[in-house]
Amino acid sequence: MSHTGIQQQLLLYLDGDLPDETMQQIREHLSACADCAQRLAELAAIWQPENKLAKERPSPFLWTRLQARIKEYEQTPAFARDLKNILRGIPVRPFPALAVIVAIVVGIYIGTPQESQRTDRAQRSIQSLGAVDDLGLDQFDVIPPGSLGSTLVKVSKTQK
Amino acid sequence: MREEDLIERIRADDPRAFKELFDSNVTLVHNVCFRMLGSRQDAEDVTQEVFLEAYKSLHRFRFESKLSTWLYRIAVNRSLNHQRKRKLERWLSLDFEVGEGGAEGSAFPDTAANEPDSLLEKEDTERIVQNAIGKLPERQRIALLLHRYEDLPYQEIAKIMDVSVASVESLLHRAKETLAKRLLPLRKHI
Repeated sequence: MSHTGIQQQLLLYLDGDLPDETMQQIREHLSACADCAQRLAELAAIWQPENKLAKERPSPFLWTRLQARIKEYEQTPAFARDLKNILRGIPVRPFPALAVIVAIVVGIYIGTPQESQRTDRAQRSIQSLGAVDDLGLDQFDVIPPGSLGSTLVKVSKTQK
Repeated sequence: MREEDLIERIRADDPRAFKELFDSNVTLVHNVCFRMLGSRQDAEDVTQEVFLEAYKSLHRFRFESKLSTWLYRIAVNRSLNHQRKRKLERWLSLDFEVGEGGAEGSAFPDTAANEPDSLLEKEDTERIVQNAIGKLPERQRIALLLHRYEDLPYQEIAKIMDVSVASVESLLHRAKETLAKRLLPLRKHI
């Protein structure tokens, strides 16, 4: 077994969690390798059970707080309890969520071209297409309002 | 008093019976929550939730395990839920600063100036071990916390985690190998 392999198993060795054969192999290695033996001693100083601090009792007011919650639970109707459980499972705080929604709405608003932008686009289209009359738009009975066609017509009338 | 008698008294609405259950188990539940969450405030909040859950669900307890095993299982699950919820809340509030490892923040408060040096040293060493354990994968961390800090046998850990005894052995084996790798470079700083 390599030094790295031995050192990786030192905590298991300290706790006696290895098969007898492996424990013996490590014991023999440690008796011959000062570096690994030193690392074992240092790990033992960190890992020893005496370092574990005693269990702490919680606040003496915990029982009082628990009683208040039990009383609240008993006084809540069953359907309200179920709803509360569902809502408690949602980890969303209102303000960050609201900020995200506002950002999405603003983004959509910015991304949607406005009337003036449509007019500019229409003018550029007219320049590239030639006269509006050549487009044959007068062949249509109705040009849908708000469409590029209606904007082209509007712009061409302005130009005339 | 036998556990069955205590639970029957609770089911019969004996007002003192649930208090007896609370008094005999609150320290172990609080300790597990504290080790998993690293914060006394969070540990107390989750401890309340554990006992409230026990109060609501005691009528379904079927004596297939010890009462303490059942409470340990609720404590572990509630602590994990609490951790996950806190992480998601921090992410949604755009606060990405996270404490070290799974045990967020220090598990031990700043020690008072008049504590003996030996206790300070012990706390420093234990903080290092606790932080290293906090960085383990979730299941390894749970198995190790229950084994090291609650001194539970493999069979009981297996019932709490709902896995086989062989899985517990494997989890502890991997946890200790990983910890040895992490603690060895730190030993010079202790």
